[in-house]
Amino acid sequence: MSDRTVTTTVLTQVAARILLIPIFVVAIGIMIKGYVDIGDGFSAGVIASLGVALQVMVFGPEELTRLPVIQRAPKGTFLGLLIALLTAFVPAVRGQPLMTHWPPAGEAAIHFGTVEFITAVAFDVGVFLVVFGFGVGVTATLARAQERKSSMAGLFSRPGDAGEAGERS
Amino acid sequence: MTWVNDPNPALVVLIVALLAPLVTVILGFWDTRNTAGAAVATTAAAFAAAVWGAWNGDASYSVVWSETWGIRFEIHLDGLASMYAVLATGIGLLIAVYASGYMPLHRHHTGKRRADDVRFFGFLLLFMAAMVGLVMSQDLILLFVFWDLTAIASYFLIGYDSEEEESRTAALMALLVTGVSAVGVLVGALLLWSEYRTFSLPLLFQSAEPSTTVTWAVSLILVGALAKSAQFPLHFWLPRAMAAPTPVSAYLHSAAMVAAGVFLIGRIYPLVSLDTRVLDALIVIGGASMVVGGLVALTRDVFKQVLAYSTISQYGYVVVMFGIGGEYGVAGATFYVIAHAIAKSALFMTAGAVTEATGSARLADVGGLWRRMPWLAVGSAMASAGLMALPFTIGFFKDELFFAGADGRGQLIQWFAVAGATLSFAYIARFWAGIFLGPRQGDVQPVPASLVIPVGVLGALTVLGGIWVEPFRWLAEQAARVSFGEELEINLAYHLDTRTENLMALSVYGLGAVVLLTGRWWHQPVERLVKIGNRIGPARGYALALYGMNRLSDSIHDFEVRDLRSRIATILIPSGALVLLAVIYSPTQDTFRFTSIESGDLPLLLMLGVAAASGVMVVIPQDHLRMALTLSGVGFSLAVVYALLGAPDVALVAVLIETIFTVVFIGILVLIPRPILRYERNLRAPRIRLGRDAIIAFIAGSVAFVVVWSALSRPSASTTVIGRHIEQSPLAHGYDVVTVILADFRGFDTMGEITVIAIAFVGILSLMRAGRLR
Amino acid sequence: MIVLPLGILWFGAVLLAILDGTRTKNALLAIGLLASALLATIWLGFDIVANGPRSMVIGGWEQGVGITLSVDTLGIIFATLSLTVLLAALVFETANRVRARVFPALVLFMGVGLTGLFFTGDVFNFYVFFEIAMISAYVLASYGETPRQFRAAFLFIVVNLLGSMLFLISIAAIYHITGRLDMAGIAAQIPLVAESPVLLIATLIFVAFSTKLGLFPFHFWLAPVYTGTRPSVAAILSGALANIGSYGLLRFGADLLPRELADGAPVLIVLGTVSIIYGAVQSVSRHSPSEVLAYSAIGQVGYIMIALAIGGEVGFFAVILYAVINGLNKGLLFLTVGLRGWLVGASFVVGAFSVAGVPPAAGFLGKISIFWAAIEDDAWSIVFLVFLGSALSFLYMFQLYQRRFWIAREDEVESSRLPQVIVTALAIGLLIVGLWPEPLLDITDHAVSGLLDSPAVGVSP
Repeated sequence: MSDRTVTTTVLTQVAARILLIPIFVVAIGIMIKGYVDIGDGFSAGVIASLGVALQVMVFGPEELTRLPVIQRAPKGTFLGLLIALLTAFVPAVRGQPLMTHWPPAGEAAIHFGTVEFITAVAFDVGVFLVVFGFGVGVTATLARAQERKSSMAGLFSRPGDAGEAGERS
Repeated sequence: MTWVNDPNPALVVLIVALLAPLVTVILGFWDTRNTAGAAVATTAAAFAAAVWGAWNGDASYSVVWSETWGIRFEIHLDGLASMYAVLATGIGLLIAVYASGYMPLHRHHTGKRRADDVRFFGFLLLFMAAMVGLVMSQDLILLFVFWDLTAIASYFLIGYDSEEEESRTAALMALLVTGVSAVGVLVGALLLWSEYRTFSLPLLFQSAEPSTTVTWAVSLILVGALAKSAQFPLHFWLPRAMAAPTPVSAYLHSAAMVAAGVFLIGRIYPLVSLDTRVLDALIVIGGASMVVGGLVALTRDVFKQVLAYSTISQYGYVVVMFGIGGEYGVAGATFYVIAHAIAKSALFMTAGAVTEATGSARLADVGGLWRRMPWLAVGSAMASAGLMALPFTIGFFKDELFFAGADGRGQLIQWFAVAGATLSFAYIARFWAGIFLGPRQGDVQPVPASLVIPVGVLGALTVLGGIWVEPFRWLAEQAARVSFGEELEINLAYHLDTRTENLMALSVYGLGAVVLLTGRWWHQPVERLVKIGNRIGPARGYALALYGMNRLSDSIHDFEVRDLRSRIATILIPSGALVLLAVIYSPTQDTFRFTSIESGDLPLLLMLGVAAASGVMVVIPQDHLRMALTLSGVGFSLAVVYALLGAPDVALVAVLIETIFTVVFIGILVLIPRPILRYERNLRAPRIRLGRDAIIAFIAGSVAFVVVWSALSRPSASTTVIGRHIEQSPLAHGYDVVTVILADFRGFDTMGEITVIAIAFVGILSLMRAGRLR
Repeated sequence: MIVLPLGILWFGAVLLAILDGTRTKNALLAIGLLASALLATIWLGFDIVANGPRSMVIGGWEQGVGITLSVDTLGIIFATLSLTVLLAALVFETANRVRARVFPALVLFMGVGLTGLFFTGDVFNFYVFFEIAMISAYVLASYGETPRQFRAAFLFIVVNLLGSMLFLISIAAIYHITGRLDMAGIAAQIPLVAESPVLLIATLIFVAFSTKLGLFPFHFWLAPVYTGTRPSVAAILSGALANIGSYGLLRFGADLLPRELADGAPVLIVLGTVSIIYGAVQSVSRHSPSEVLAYSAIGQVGYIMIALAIGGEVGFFAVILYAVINGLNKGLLFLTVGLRGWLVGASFVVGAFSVAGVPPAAGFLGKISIFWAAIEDDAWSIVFLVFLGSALSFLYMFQLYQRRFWIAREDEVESSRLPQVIVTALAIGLLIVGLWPEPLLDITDHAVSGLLDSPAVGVSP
């Protein structure tokens, strides 16, 4: 089966490469600025993983192993969840209701421009990590599955493989 | 330690009885050779306790069992309880002795292991313990618990030889008849509660007045009682239950199970006697059982079958006597149970011993055994004489009381009593004579003494009771007083005069002899009658019901929908119907409203139109890729709608979600082998199914539409929380309300949703990695 | 204190998600976590029974602005039940050797979802936890090795997504007409809103939960799913996940929409009746044990519906009691499906007696409470119906029991000891509940008075 005859022009490749960094910057911007403007950790996570998906589509799954950040993103899902959980449950240990953010409502917070450093932002980072990890992880899984499928199909056609695929669908 | 110095007899009797199965099972597990010995020892202890308790008498114990439901663990060792407890443990003891000799032989026949004895004795003693608990219970729920415990024990005992199909059928039948009818006891108890707000029998006896509810309640409880006592028309399980090993049959028929039914009548007799219609019904049912059981018993050939039908017939007497009521009726019924229990268990054990000795279980195959098994012959002769109500046996008095009770109730009942007693005389005589008299038939192997001694003991007791009746009289009197609810005296003596009872007894002997001698003339017709009864009787009804139920089950199973589309349809169509029902039911005015459309709404409408059109497009058959893209078209156009509604945050999320989903979708499509995609694309559903699917889809859409429309026809609530959200956002250090809601006000929801994402991720990883979740 | 069970489960689940669950030591860790969450729930329960419901607004905002967590006795009962069944299934699977890395984590995640939705006082948050539980169930349904599990999982996912969708629509509609998402606020607003839209919304909610429970005619997915999944998963689905349905109907029906519940009572009775008869008759001639159990589950839902329709003190009492005992029965019976041995036979028969309502197995309590409700309501036809249903349950349970455990087959190999011991422990638990029912009855009573006294959970709006 020669399904996957990827035809990527040089132009696509260059565009994809150039776009990666801006996509990440936009993502981080959207996340941090969330409290002031449109966007939040969720959108940021999706944007960033779309960026990664673009790389994979253009350069193939081996691209995933090149950047350590991307390589570790799937594990980051659980780190993100852990961060979010900590922001939720640490106040409970201190006797406050769940997810009581710090600094408390109405009090001044350390800020950098309009960006304020509050625990809600940490929570948003957790959200970002989960979504980003999910996006990258799924992209990677799909891409690897395709690799596996085409490499095996290229060598020889195994009846068992087709049977299994049949069951799955 | 007052408890040790002055123990409560009621508790002692119950605890010793309950310990019997427990100790036996534990010792049996430890070493299976202990089982029989342990069973005999523990039953002996239970018997001793019961006798001691009966002597010390009238103790009660009560403790709250459940506060909420007002049920108490209330036991009372009154006369009635004492009598049945003594019977259950005493006969239980002899049965245990008998079984210790019988079970090794049974094991030998059936190829069972020694370990199976533990199960047998465990359930046998549980049976006994449940009886002891049952007879002492004063709370209807507690009574129900012990009642069903006897059903459980009997189920396992009847089905003991579970490798035989006959045993399995018999066990299931016994369980269904007695277990399901036990629900009647429960419902009756609850009915009584609804009227008097108590489950306590003493309180109920105090306050119950004749009323429809009480009559219904009592009738329901009696259904349970009569089914357990194998009364017509729920009698058919009992002959089948003979599939059990003989010790079980002997016990079941004399002092447990079947006796439990008449015990219950005696226990709630103060309520039963409130309505004479109930009493009359008892006479009819008891009478029918007497006749049916008696006639069938006369024609059976298998020992245990003869005895089984005789039991039905003889408990018919007891029920009739309860129906006759009054001092004699109640006293007679109670006394009858004692006399019957002693004699009947002896006969069953005889049957078992003969079968073990000769290898045959039919009257036709044996005969003239009195020479070869003299001790057994004598023992069972005494027991038979008891059941035949010959003088100088305890049985004489049982019939005397019966006749005395019938005396006051007119000719019909009197004739009936004589007829019943005649039948009983005849079939018992036929049984005993068929085995021990006549030409010699059958090879006799020696049997262990433990199979004969209990018969001898019981036979001796039967005769002893005919000579020195006092202990039995006293026991029955104490019991009958409880049932009767007031003072009552039983006077038993031989009178050498021509009082009605004596005349009736004499006519019974005469008629019985005639019946026996004229066997060759009536045998054929009666046999034919029994055959007809089998063809149209309740047993047949049971079999048909069971068969029909299985057939019905199969046929409605064929109607189950099996494919995915239909399964979805069966959710959508009924919900459509329910929504329609709700629309019809609810007040219609203002439910659905239109508002005017302004020119500014035009772009919004346009995008909604696009979304709707893409939604419709999806269902038009096309290849997978285009389908995925059309689907994402719905999402993108909705994103525009959000943007137009002034929700840029939501619009952004919607666009991003649609994008990544489309990417993932396409990624998955690439994974599916081409031929499969091609095959699916070229699938053309039959026109009729397309039409059906379209209708279903339309219904589904309408349901959602109608509900949403009706909600939107309401003006949105005047004070929504969103107002408070906007007000408070600055407090939460935020200017973008949506983000603040997501991360702070409702951050917990976000927390949950990212957990969902993580779980989905976990799932995808494990499914895709190796193609399966492992 | 109120967040302790949730916290343990949530952190534990995340931790286990990165560990390899097929290692016994990790599975034991999961068991420990689940057990401590169960203990924490019970501890919380003691406090709530003594001091009344507890609630907390997340983030420390005012009620309505933040999400309210609100725990009352009803929630405690269902959380305890569900965690017990989850724990049993997890222990069972561990004893049987866990075959999937993520199995323990998923069980914990489902624990998060269930506990959360029983503890929340906010309808949208309810939906979120509902989704957590459902998505864990979707993945769990495919746990196994064969296409059979995939087919079951696929069907399960499609049908239940539909149910979730209907539920989501109704939540949105509720928000539109009341402007609130917290249950206390909604309960206060609903009487002020006209009846018609609320009734339509209530219908959708009813459909959503009935689909989850498998009420006739929304049951067609249930039998193939329960038979297709592995025994421990089937036990989880029917003993723990299905509780969402009963709890949801109580919370949304009895607590938030009592007027609509009363309106819908005739429909509930009709569907309940059909369900009881249909499920019981179907069970009679089914051959595989899990099929019998699945159809029997459809019948049991009917009892719950009827008790719900009767309503009032006795009705709701019966709903809760029946749901709890049914969850335990099903948990036990599904676990026995794949096993062999005399201990299994003994445990199965305890479960069978429980289903048939024969004491001392706990099932008779449920039967009593349903009869009781019907009698107090003077509903004789229902008394008869329940009687019929219970007669049929004798028939199908014991036909099955005899076929499976009395007819010896040559090719049978006795299962290893440990799983047998686990089901035996569950069976003994059922017996203990039956013999000493007061704690369960008392706490049920407490939950019912909680439902009837205050219109909705949580602090006043």
